[in-house]
Amino acid sequence: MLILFGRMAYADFYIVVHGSNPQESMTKKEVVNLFMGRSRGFPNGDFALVFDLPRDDPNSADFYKALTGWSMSQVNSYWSRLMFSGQSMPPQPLPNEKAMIEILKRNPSGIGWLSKAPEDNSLRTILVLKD
Amino acid sequence: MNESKRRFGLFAGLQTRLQLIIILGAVIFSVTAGLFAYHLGELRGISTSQATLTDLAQAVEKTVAIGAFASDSVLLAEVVDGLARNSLVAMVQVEAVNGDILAQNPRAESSSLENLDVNPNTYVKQVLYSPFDETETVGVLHIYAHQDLIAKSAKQEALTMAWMMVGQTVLVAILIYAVVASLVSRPITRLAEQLRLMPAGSHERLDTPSLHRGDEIGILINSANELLDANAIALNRERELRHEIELMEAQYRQIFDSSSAGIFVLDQNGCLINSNPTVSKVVGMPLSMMQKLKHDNFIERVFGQPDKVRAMVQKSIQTGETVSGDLELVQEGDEHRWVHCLISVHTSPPETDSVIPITTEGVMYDITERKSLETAVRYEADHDALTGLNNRASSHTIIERFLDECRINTTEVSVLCIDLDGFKQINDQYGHEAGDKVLIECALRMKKAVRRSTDLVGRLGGDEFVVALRDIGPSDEALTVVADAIMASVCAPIVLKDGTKVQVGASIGIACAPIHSNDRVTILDMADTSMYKVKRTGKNTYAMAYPKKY
Repeated sequence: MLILFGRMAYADFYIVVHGSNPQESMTKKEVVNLFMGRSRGFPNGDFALVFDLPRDDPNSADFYKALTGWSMSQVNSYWSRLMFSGQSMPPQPLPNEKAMIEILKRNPSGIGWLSKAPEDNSLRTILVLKD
Repeated sequence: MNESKRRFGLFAGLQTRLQLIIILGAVIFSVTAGLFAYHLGELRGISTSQATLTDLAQAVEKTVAIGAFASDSVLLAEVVDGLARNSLVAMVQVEAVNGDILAQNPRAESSSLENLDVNPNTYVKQVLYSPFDETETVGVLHIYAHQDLIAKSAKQEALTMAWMMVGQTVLVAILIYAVVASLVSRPITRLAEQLRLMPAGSHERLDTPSLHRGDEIGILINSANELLDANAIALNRERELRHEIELMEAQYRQIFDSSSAGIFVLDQNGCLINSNPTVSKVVGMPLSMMQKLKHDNFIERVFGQPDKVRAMVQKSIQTGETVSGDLELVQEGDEHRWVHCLISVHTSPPETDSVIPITTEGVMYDITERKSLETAVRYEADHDALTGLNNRASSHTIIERFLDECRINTTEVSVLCIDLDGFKQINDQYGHEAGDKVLIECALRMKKAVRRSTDLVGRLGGDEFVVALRDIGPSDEALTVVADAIMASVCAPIVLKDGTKVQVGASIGIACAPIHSNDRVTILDMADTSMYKVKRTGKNTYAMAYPKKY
């Protein structure tokens, strides 16, 4: 009941990596740097492959709101400015959360986000975004 | 117009002075205001430039922050180039937190920073924060402006403002000048010109232009008209008064000229200032001669005894009153002419410090006739009608005068009493006419014998005569000489009308003052006594009285 209520009231998001990833945890700032194209690797220096969900995913707006405090259109504007130069590219979008789980399971250096906690041990939650 | 303008002098005209003051004021004000405006303009220009720089920085802040956040040098270069396109901007630089230069335009010299001024007017520094965390600094945006360009544009603005200020001032000055000229100075000049051309006492009046009705010029014109009215009235009154004065003057002149009294005015030197025709008639001098007296001493030329006249003048000065007296004029021929003269002296207030003008006024009447009548009467009273000698009364008076003189001057006087011997017989024998002839002849001879006119020869009555000799005493030889001469001349034969020769003798008694007496009665008595003694003793001789003290 509490959980249900909580899920309805708070859209928690889970930053998830491969189970074998040596990175124990990440701060929200480090996650922002990865997702917003500032850094290309984990804090320990390992290369990171960042995956995103489509911008029209029902949870995308809430996720970015929780992560950056920005609306979707602001995020779009941000990326359009960076993409203009051709140097930075936004994280690669995957069709849905299921595809995300599959890809992350196969990529030890991958990182992505889910709206539910992963169910098996092959994936590990590295940060929970509570709004 | 020109004439009156010339009278002002170059800088004296109200209009010109006003013009100068306005020009001076305008110059001072426009210079001050221009300088102020210039300073203000410069400040404004600088602050405008600074605002432009700040605006520029703020406009690109977000994008630059994103670029700095993502370290996207291409995006940053794009923005920096865009900023550098602004003509004000000298250099733009994006600096990362660690000091790396992320982007710069112009790219060439990154070390030229030192040449750029970081004063707040020409430099803007914008700190860049992370788009996702406002507390995290991701870099700094530096924008440097072209200092000379800012200064130039500021100066441009300042100059524009200053010139506007000056232009405005000059325009206002011209306007004020024109208004004052048409409203004040031109009407005043015209008014002055009208007044100048107006003849004194004219009935013309100035008209007030409708523009100035009720303002200060109007008041001035009204006042001028009132003054003209007042002047006209005063002028008329003065004319009437002058006419009256002229009439009065003519009357006085008439009185002065036709007066039976001679009127004359002298200055302090005794020269004639003015006189009426009567003076010349009285004095017996033609008018042309009178004119000459204006440069000569009137008193000396006209009066017989100038000293007496001067004494009268002095007396009048001392007493301040009119002094009158009978004065003899200068004698012409045998005629003695007399005037009665009133003299008064007026001291007028001093014209200068030293000279006090004194005018002497005189009025003279001809009294020659009265005077000669008086003289005749007195002569008759004093003299014996038959012999012309002093009569008894006047003889007494004269002897008394001689005795007074002798007392005062301690001189001597000799008195001789003479009685004719044998006169009675001639009178009885030949008649009174013969007697009278004898008396006349004897009187004549005695007068001759005495010789001096100052001595007295008088007839006391009948055949008694008296002779008084001044300054001659008992011991003087002159006394015996005179006594002898009288004796000899009287005793000489007298020829009567019918040719008969008769002869009388004389007895003479002498008394002298002061030896015998100083008293007239006594001295005559003593002379008489010694005369009778002679008559008793022998006649035809003379004898001295005995002095009292003997």
